[in-house]
Amino acid sequence: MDKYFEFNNGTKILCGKNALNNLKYELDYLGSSCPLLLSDEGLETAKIVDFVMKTAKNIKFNAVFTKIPADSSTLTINQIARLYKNNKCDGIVALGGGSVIDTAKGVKLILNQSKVDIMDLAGNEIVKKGKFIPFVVIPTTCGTGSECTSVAVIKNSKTKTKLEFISSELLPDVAILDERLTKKLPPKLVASTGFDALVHAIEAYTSLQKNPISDIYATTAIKLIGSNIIDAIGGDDNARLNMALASNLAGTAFSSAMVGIVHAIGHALGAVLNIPHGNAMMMLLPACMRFNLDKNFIEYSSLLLYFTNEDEYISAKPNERAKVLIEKIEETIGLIKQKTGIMLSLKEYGAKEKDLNVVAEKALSDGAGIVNRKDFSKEDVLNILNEIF
Amino acid sequence: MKKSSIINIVFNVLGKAFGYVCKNDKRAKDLFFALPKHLTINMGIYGESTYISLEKTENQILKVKPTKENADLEVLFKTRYAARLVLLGKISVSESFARHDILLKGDINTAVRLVRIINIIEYYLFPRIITYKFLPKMQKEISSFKVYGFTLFGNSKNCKIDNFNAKIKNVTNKNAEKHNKDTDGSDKNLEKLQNVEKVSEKV
Ligand SMILES: [Fe+2]
Repeated sequence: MDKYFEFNNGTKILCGKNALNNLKYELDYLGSSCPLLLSDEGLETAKIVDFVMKTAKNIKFNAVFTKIPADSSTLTINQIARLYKNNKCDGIVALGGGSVIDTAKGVKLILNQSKVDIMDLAGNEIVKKGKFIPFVVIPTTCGTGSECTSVAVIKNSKTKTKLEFISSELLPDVAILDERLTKKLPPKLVASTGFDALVHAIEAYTSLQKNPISDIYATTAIKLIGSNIIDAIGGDDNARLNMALASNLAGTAFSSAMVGIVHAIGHALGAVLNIPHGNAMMMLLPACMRFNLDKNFIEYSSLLLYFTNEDEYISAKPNERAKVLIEKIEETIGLIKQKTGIMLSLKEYGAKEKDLNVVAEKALSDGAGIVNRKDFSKEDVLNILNEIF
Repeated sequence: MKKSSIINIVFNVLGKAFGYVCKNDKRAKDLFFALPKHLTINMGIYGESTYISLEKTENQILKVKPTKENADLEVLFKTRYAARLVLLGKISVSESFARHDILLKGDINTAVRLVRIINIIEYYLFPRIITYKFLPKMQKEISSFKVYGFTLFGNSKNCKIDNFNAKIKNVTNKNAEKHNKDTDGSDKNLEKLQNVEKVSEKV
């Protein structure tokens, strides 16, 4: 072992049937008796917020805020932090997907650092250990893995640009993965968020900062995704729980090892063309893997074993395993398209050729790109975009 | 706290080369104009006084007197060892970031543009035998000797970066605006281009 690395995952994970029933115990353990519940309107309409409140009826929430928008902003965070203080809450419970969880992370950070404006805390690892704020996260998708990462992405209300916050202080104390919470997730969303998790794991396994610990998380996540994604889309409860777990593991992997070119271009596609993150991941993955193939040949070859099984791995010639992996991923995407009708070309999202240049320029300034093992230029990004146009 | 002289020298060389490379290398120039119009940058090592302060104006990047005051962007290596690894060309800035060796205050996208400019500068400053490990092959648009010469004898105040490409982009945008309004009475496409910084979904 000649390489330096850091790994930090202090989040306790409760995973499985009726996991949510332990919420009261966990909050008591953390010393929170009157927390703030955060969620969004979609989950309120789908009665998931109700379900959680009923399951945790012995918890006294001092405040409930369910108006978190899909692209939450610094203003929303400052506003929720005031709500927390005004209602004398003593902990945070976040119920939702990426936006709710990232907002909750921002709220926790501002409270724990005793600040008024979250903008003062933007950056990478600049904050010190702060005040303890009990923080429990209950994810309702099976993709972002945000419940166990030390990253939050939040819109700057003034400039409308996205700001990244990276700190161990963002890690929740507890993450609860309960199969009942992903039951109502539409198949398309299971597919796209599931692919987001797959990309997290593959990029973590091939990034500049991969390490023996992140590798264990990444390969286990890939194994779970390879064997569960199709059943999960079909509605199988156990497969959905496995996908939620995979997403959590992949999140832990990339929180240490970081992501790469797929995310750099995916973020730009989201910003310029409003393409949902998971869909962008699915579209981009095979093309980006082909681009990275020469640098990641050994890693892709070994990942075939995890994404498929021993038989497929052994029957593929050693020097063709990396290519077979890409083909298998493409086959899975084809099957998902058949089952869900998910849109997988830029044209379907209304992209014009002139948009590609803007996307490529934006991808170059994305933080995810700098840890991709193979450096890339604007022309490289344009080639990839043309492939999926 | 006492500063390490070798780190100080390399920081200073880097600071001086900044404006010259941005002026003469098109890739660096494009990145320069993608940075915020006015930007102050502090670079140094955690727990030590600032090694270098840079101030970016509309068309210049000036090495100014190191300051303790809050800059828009603060890039700090966690340790001297971490700084040496990068400044002596053992690893790239990207790799240093990936190793969690860099603390960063401010906008990460701006920092990424800065990292890409530093990569280009390093390509000129270090011999290929060093950079081949961490930088892909690039076309040199100026000779490395000219960059060395400037860092020794040049004055960054005289190094104004020509905004020619940006001007062309502005004209193109204005034409696009006119075209959109002329053709369908809407400026939706321009709006799309202007809104490129809109927030994407989360990682
Ligand atoms: Fe992602």
